Amino acid sequence: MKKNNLSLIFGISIPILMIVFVALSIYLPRFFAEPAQHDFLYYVTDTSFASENPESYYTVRKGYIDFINNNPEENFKERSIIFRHDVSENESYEISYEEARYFELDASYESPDGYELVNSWGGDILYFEIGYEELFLKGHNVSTEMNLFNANIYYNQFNFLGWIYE
Amino acid sequence: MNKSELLKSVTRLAKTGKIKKDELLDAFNKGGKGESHFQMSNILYYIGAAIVFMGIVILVGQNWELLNDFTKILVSLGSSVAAFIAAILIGQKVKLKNISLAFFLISMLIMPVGFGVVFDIYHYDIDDLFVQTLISTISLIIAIISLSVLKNNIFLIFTIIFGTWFFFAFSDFLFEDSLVIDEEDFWNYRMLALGLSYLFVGYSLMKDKQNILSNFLFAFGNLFFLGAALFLGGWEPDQNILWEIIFPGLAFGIIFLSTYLKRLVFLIIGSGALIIYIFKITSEYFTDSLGWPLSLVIIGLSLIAVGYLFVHLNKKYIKA
Repeated sequence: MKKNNLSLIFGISIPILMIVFVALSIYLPRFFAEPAQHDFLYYVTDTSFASENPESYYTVRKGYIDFINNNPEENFKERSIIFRHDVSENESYEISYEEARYFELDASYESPDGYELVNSWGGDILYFEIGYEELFLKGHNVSTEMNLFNANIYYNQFNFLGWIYE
Repeated sequence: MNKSELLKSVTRLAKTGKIKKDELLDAFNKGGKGESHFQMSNILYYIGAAIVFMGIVILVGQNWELLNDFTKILVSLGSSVAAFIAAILIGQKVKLKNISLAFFLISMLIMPVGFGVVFDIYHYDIDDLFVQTLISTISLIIAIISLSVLKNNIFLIFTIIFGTWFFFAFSDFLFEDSLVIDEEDFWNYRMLALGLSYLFVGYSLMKDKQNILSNFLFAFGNLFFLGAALFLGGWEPDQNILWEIIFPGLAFGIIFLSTYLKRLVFLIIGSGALIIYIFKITSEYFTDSLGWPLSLVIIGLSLIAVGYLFVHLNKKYIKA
């Protein structure tokens, strides 16, 4: 084979091989990694009427969701929506506070099966805002973008509650 | 030996397989300057084509709201098809061959815009990476088919442009919902691979001595390759020591290639990269310990050494 042709083949192969390599490094671990087992709970709040007083919020205490009512006038429960994110379907479903109370939760960053939620840069999700960044489920060399509930306005602060034990 | 005898000898040698077409063309090219694609009139044709392209884009942009869907496709993709057909028809006359290239240029420039308009009309988000991949793939396939059928360098240029676009769009599409490696590093590694790819393709085009494209590919290939390698080195405290150590080797490798391939572009970019590297490393590591004045002395002496190397290699290997 001529030197020039060989050089052309090399030239074309390099980007193709890189694409193949990237594809393999992304998709191959998915075949071997255990799929995530634990759904997670989160809530979003309409912050447009937020007062200067201490806000109410949902939290996790002793493994169950709890409502901290700091300001009864602000109608926090009416302004907030709780979601269960089904990791196998990658979809969020709205649930009521009463339904959420039955779930045993693990509020740590990492799920019991070794997955964690990170932002687009792989960083933590303490100040994560829906619609401005993407949320990823990352672990076992695999990462998948989560399709969260996406409201038009005001409901943008993502508040992680915990991983669901079932 | 007169001309007819020479031609007869060539025919005889070709029949017996003792001479190949490439060898004959090489010998011919060595003797004469041949036809350059970059004569003054050609440059004017290309500038004219670029202005026509801009005119169409501005015209469509200004009247976008007034046009219906059919007219939008007609003025964008339709113009591209019309320019392509016009180029083929004009190219039938040998004298007008260069003008036909200008029409091919218009056609190739408008084509991706036209596909973008079609996708937009059918409510696809043209910023979406899948749509970008699709448009670049279609454009690339058309450029490759045109190149293989019409065998014209203009399609080679667009094959490289659309191929580059496809490479970035498709790898971004694959990478979109993944966090396997750092986004900035991914960008740098792709530039590194692309630079290397351009260098190899440029080398394969060197056999055609008139092919000015190889010099462009060498220039961009070197810039992408060494630029990406420099960025991969990072900056203190987030530096990557491995890339910082490898970099001078890569720059000297490129300088060495300039003597082997006898191309000034390798020497210029290789030396330039080495100078930038000296500035970077000195300001990164030595300004605190040695202070700025001494660092400047080191930089100055290094620049003199690189300058001497440049002049010496240019005189001895490239101009010779």
